[in-house]
Amino acid sequence: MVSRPPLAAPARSRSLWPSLVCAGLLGLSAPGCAGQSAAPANAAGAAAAEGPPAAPPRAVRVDPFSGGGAPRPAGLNALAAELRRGMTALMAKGKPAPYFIENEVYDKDEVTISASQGVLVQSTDRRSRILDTDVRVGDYKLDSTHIIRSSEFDFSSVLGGHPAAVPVEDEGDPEGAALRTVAWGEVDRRYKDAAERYVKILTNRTLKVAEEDPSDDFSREKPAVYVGPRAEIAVDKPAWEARIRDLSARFKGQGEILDSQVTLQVVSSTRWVLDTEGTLVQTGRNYVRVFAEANARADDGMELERFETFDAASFDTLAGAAEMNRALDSMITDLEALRRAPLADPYIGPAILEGRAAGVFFHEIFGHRVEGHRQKNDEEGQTFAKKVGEPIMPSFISVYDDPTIARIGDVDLNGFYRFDDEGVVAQRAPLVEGGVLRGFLLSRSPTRGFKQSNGHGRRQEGRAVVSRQGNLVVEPKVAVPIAELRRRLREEARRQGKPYGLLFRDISGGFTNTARGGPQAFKVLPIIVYRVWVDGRPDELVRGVDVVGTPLSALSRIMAASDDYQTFNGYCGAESGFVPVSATSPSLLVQQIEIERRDKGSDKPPILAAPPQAPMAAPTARAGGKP
Amino acid sequence: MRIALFAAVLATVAGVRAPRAGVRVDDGAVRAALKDELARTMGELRLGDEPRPYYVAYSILDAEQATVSATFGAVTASHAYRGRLLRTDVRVGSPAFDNSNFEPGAKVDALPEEDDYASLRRELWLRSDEAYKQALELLARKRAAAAGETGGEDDPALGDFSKEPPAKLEVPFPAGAVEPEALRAVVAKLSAVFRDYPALTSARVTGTYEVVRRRMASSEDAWIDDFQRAVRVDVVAETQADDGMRLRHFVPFSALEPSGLPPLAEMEKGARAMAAELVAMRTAPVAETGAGAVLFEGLAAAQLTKLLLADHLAGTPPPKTATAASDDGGQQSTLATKLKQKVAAPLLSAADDPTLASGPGKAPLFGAYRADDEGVPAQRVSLVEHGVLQGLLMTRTPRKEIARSNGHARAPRFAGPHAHVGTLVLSAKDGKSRKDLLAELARIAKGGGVTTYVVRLLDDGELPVSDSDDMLSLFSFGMGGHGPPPIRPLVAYRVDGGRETLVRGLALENLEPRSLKDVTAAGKDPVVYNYIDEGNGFAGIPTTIIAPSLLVSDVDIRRLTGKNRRPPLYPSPGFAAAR
Repeated sequence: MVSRPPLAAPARSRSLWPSLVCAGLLGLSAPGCAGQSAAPANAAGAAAAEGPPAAPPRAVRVDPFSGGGAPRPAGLNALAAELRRGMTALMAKGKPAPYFIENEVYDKDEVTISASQGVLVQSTDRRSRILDTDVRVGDYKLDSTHIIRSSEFDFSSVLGGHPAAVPVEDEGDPEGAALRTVAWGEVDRRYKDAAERYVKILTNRTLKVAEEDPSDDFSREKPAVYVGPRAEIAVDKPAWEARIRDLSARFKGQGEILDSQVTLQVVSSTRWVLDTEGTLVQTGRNYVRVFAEANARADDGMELERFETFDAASFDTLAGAAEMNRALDSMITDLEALRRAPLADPYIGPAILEGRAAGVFFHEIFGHRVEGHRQKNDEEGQTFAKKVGEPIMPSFISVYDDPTIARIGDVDLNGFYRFDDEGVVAQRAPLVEGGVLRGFLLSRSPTRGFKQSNGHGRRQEGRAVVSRQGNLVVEPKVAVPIAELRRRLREEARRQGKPYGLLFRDISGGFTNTARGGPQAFKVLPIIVYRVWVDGRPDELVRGVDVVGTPLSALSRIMAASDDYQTFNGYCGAESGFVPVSATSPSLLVQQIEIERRDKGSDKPPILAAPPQAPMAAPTARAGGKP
Repeated sequence: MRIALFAAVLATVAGVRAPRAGVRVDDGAVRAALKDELARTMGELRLGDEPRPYYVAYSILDAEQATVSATFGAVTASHAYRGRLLRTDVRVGSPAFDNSNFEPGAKVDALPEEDDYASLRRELWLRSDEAYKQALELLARKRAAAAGETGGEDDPALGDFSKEPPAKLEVPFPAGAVEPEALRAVVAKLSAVFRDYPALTSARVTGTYEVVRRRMASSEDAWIDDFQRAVRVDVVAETQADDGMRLRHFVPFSALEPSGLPPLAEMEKGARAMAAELVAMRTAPVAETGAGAVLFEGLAAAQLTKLLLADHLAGTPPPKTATAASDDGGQQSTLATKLKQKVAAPLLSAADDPTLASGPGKAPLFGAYRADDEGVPAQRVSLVEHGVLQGLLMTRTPRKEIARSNGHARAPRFAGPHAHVGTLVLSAKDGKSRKDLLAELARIAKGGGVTTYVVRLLDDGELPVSDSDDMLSLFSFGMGGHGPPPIRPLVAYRVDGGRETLVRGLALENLEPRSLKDVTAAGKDPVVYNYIDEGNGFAGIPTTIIAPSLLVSDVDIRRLTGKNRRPPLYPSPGFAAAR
């Protein structure tokens, strides 16, 4: 649920960070309810979807090894030499000795330009290079990263990440000697952390009952060697400052909109991953994002927010001015409409999730539950741990996560990468095929029945790697046009005796509890929701809606899909920090969605009217006169 | 169009400062927006039958900051940051009883950095609306809490907000951008010194230069347009003794602008001396537990003054209601109840004087200012006279004994103002030379049963914490004990028969404000310590302490024990190639 812009100053107002806000909430140990799901026994066949065969999304896949062979930078060579030196020394002197060391370096150039009401808020430029060091003691079967089961709080679990700032320029460090010195200190320190923890783990194992999942701690993978070009991107700052100012000025004079801001964020990111098994990777990619946020307040005090994001891997593929203008203008009309919209009533009934909303919905309620490490930890709900090979969705639905997709349709995907943060080549992870659960998102932490990574070990710099989503894709076998989907929605609502069905256009994010401590439920936070009336009245916008439910039940009730793939690009937060991701899905008709009323604020809209645009008495201005 | 024209005209008229490329600068627009929205907020802002604001103040803070970090000659970070903040103070009720001194209610928001009349007024409008509603809510809660309690010792006549003459202050803002380039070479070169010391496990130099322009307008017609500047270069290094004990050392350099820093050669000399002392510490003996007498000299004297005196001088009374938790943590400072009582040895006197322009040897002073963050003119306050407490640091929140502010309301960047020192000057009658102070130590040692030390540097919490290992040691350090947290010297020498021997691994226990009564002698050459208090990095309060060497006759020395991690299992890669 952490969602703050990375500003050095406090976030402007209540920030609406356009991201997939999600978190595997930590819980206490309590019996889970994974086995007692509300899913009907005939889940897979619940709704025999009818319609013509669906076309797959227009995806552009990239071979992770393509475009390699760039010269190795001096720093990378220096780090590799230091890694070898450290491993040799610690193998000889360390008791117990390490069996694996990894270094990862994140070299980032970040430009952020934001404006509000036509005025520049901030324009900053930041370069950083962060080193992460992971040392493993023990062996592949049982090592120093193993979970310690204890009633005492394990400090080492929260101090999992160990970021260290390293020299940002090769000019001041021609042979990489300063970089090596920092890396030396880190390897020494992290080796000692690992050795101490390993001793604790051995003790812990003799005291506790056997774990449910006897899988190894670390998988064996073929080491990847790939040196791609460094990421570089030129930002014309004055031009972009002008453009962001202009975009933000669209909110000017819109009386009902309170705070608003438009931000350009350009990140040029080069990663090095190298380990003692021989992995040596340099990859680079750029992230360009324009996001606009605005809020308003209803007369009853409810805060209303709207955001739009445009993500791309380059300026060339970023949405054009006309498209952005159109989107911002619709934010204004949406907010004005939301202010006057009636409060939604609690409701259970059929609904359409439009593509982007469906993508976020799947990301939250499904994607987080198929992260490999959650199948392993005894404290997790393990909704799907033992359901591999069983139907969990209707048979016309398939779901996979494929980080090697660079683009779907006209949209660059945020979750595209070539190698994960363990240096494992990115691969398509088949998750659901024909409604049947086939696998999980896997890092090098094996889980029952899955011994190899599929390249989904990810982290934000400074965190410990866990398995995460990259590009999640929901693909139906049959699809109908959106108009037909709406017709079926009305029909289903009528069948259920409801006066209306719901249509979800946008979901801002949500959270899901995957641990056993709390209920195995989710809540997602829609922003734009319409009532679609059975009697044919025009759709009616409503506000103040939260969607609640349990994952197995929700997933089993998908009735039909449309053929209109949409992609949501965002940044997802969980144990290993924020990572860029995407979720792509067509619109889906769901037999039953439950909504409840959102907790609303109590502050009234501003007491005074907006101030005038020019000084009340400004003799100085008049003195200037018109030319 | 008219707005743009208006801006252009005023910029020409004001002409104080060359605008930064691409960013609109217009002093007139900022001032006009502040005054106009202030008038509207005071005159028109009212919710139903609730009271109007009786006082409104806005402070706009323009911070420009440049930071450069380097390790072993290579730059690890170099960035510039600019940001504008608005601090909004809206008071409802009356000066006798208002929404203040109850729960933390400071309101600080980021603002667009460009000078644009319409945009500024819009921001002021929205933030005032929020602050006013929050103030009404706080006042209602404070009234409810007060109604449920008996008066206690409170003087009902004691108000919440003292009457002060409004400050009028304008200091021309200097031209020139704050860029990391100004510090880059110095920081990189200074850090390269440590390439010659392979025994160090880490060494970092961080240079920060900051200029903060402040514009403050209040409904009492105060108007301040001034600025504050500070440069600090922190040099920090670490190593481990053979028994694994972690050792740290640092040396700070300060100035008001980069050109005011000492010459590079002098700073390099300081860094080398520090590195050599740190390396020597690896093989130094560990101190013994026992009764001690300690001469605090150099920075350690000023650091001790901070810990024992400067942090305890706030005169703000506790909140009027027992359940409240105010900005000051809901409690009075240790010395607030000791007015007219003996708090230090008779040889000591102390005053806080933000109006001092420079320190001994023309040293720059971080703690200098002319008006505080409530817009009250800074005043010199005599705090301790010959050991007796005669004054306290006051904001506009009065206390029974002191009804008026003395201009010491100071605010960290992201919080509200509270009583805080500016430039604290500790002075001693009959200051002694170092030789005489050592003789005094020898005399104490002669009595027997006491080990004597010279301490030159303390870990006073202002040091940048380096990594998670330190977090772990903090958890285990000083927990479960009684009394104040122990103070850890970073550099200490045992003095024995006139010989000074470097020692390590000691903590000083039971040092608290009352220990100032155990100061039996002081030096005559005061040292100036500039630091940024509270808050992370440079977001805190620029502060100065000037203090002479202090001899404390009764200090409990504890030998630090506990498990240490082994020193590195293999040597540093070193810089042979680079040399």
